[in-house]
Amino acid sequence: MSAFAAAFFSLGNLVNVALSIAVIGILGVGMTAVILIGGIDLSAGSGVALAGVVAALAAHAVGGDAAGGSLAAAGAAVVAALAVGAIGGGITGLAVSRLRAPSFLVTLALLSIERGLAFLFSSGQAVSDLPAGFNWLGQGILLGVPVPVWLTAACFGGGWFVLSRTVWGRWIYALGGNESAAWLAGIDTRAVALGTYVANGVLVGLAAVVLTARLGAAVPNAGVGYELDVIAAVVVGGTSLTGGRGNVLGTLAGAVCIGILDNALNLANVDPYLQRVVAGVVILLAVLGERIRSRAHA
Amino acid sequence: MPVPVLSAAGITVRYSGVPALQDAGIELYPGTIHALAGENGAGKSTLMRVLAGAREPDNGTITAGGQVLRLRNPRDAHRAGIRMIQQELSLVPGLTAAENIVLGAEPRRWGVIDRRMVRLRAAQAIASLGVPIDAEQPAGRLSLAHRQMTEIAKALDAGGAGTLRVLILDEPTAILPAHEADALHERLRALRANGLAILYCSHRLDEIERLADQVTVLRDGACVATGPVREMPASVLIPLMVGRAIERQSWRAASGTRPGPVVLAVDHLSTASRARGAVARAPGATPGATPGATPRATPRATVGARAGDPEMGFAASVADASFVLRAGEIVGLIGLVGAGRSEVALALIGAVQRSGGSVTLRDVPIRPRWPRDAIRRGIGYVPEDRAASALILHDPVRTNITLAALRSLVRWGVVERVRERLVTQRWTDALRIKTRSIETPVQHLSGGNQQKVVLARWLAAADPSLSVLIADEPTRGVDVGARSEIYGTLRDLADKGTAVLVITSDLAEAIALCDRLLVMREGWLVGELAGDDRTPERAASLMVPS
Repeated sequence: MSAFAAAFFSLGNLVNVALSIAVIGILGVGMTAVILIGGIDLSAGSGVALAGVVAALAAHAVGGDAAGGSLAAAGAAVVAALAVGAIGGGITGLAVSRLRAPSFLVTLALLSIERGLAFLFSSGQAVSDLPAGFNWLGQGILLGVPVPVWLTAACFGGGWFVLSRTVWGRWIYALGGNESAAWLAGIDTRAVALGTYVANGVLVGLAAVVLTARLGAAVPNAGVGYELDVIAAVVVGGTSLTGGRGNVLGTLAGAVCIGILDNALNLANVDPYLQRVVAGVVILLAVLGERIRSRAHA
Repeated sequence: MPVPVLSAAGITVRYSGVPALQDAGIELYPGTIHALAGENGAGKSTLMRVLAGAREPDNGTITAGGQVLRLRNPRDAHRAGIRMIQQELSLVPGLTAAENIVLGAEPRRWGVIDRRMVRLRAAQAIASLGVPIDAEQPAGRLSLAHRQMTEIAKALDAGGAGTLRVLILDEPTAILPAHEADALHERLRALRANGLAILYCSHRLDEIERLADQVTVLRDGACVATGPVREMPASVLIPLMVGRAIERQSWRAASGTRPGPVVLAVDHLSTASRARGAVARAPGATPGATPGATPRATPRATVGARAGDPEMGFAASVADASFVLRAGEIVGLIGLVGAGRSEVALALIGAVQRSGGSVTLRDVPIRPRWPRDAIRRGIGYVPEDRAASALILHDPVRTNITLAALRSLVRWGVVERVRERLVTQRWTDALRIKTRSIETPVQHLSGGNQQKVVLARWLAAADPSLSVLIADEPTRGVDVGARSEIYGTLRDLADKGTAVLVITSDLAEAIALCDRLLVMREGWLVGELAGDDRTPERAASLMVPS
């Protein structure tokens, strides 16, 4: 056991944990906001794949065969990823806010559409040979810390600030807490909903950048099932699925818990199939614990 | 001396350590209507919940017929013949009245619901009430009054056993217009004659005087008095309830001042075409075409043929309303439920689109497309149902008060927290909102204090001052003490030049508080009463269709 402990608490391993939750963490910030307004995004994983594929194709389109060293190609890839994410979020946002479609169904449809498009655009193949500048975003080290960890930290910091300090954040809580009250108090609830989904989409794009850059290639079946891990992190972090209550710090804690759990089970050589079971049980316990706690308060 | 059918003694209940009831007790006798009086937060709801099995007391005993009862959940209470009618009715809207009546105790034959039996039992329960409820209508289509009657019928059915002994009603008339309340009282008297024990909670003391035999007064979680109603008139009850003598009409400011200039002029306002085809002025105007969230407090006229029928209690549309509001004036808008009062308010703030007419604010024509437009022009709106349409219940007092004022409290998109706290503190002090701190979730406040939070929102949002405040039933579910404070706040606001429009079902309140009364009937603004014309008789003759 002490060998396990030594392995677990080594600095290298802690950085590993941080790195392993980067993508889920970035997605978690957006998902927290979406869940706070009473929505859900089931298309996050597919969105990551599509944005990654489009980013890689954009890099090749701009950089040509010599994509390797081109900074322009790297820039194009990042912009493409963020744009694809924003468009996905925009579609969801418009459908939800204008047509009052349930986000669950809209994003369920997008889950399929985006995954299909990722395969179509990539012809089912991994798109590799990405610009070095792009790959740095996933593999680079800045001041001794991997770049994805910096990006994740920035997303959480930004998410915390927006939600807890800005008007936008206040409106998000109001919309999720009581939509008619928010509307009657003069809040542009449609704009808040649309903006939240677009922001979430941009974060999906960023997560795609980090994942694709880390792998050094865009894979059309990347991110399968990520939406479930992300929702788990958000819920374990105490955000209410009915909206209006929760915050990104909880989501960070939830993501860290899940990351540590995976990591510890790995180090302890637990059967990978059993790992999934254990992870599920822990999520269940976290949610039950939250229910019991909130009942004690009522 | 008759034996109580249900009695409770030494009941203590704590919510997260805070006592809501301390050593409270009550005895209910068969064939007796027992009223429960007290301010909000006095513990009335908690006591009723304990008797109905919705909350197990931390201490104390409940006995029925000499036997100690343990009521761990509503099911236990049902078995003991005790049923409670909640203030928020709890019917399943998609099921018919009959299906609702037998809900949870459906008669079965070979595991399948016995529909014939359902109809039979529903018919029996409805017949014993003597109210013509259409048992085959989905509950969601029934009027509020009939929905309430359906709930009572469900209690009488008592899961098919028909052994109801105790009926508990929490503020049953809060949601009813006056004539419906009278009808309810008549039913309750009939049930009393059949030997039922009825526990009746109400804020309306006149109602207690008229209806009840016994009354128990709760204050701060304790029973401070109990006795026959005839020995305890309002003059005795009120000091007991508030623990101090307040004058019944202390809010009535001497409004000798001449009304100011016209602030809001409404000319031939109408909303979406009426189903009866009486008024279909605006081609292309569709009901329910409101963008964004439709406030839940506004029952949509979904049932075409019945829309606007005041007897049915559906939201009417406005056929024709013309009036002016002047600075410094409180104007009352009265009428039966379904007369279109709330619709006028919703049209003025843009929550419902008007189909005809014009509105000018200080001589400038306005046409708010949605509440935001109205708010920017200084029109505030206190909705009828504060929990559904105004408050974010689990959020703190602070964010609820500043919700509409955020624009003025923001720099670079960031909320200035220090100023926000100052603003919140200022208005909680000014309106004497009783809360542990400004960070307390509003759901922990009493009804009166919650309503003050909604008022504070508009006072805080007004920059520099509110032109018009529209308050729909501002004192509904509010205790006597807070009520007069709310009247005072409205009067202060008027004195500072705001035109105040109050929609109320309480005629006494309307006459005492308002300088002028506008009367609506079936969507038409049919009259205006000022000065000495503001009598209940004059108002009633205008309100009721002849």
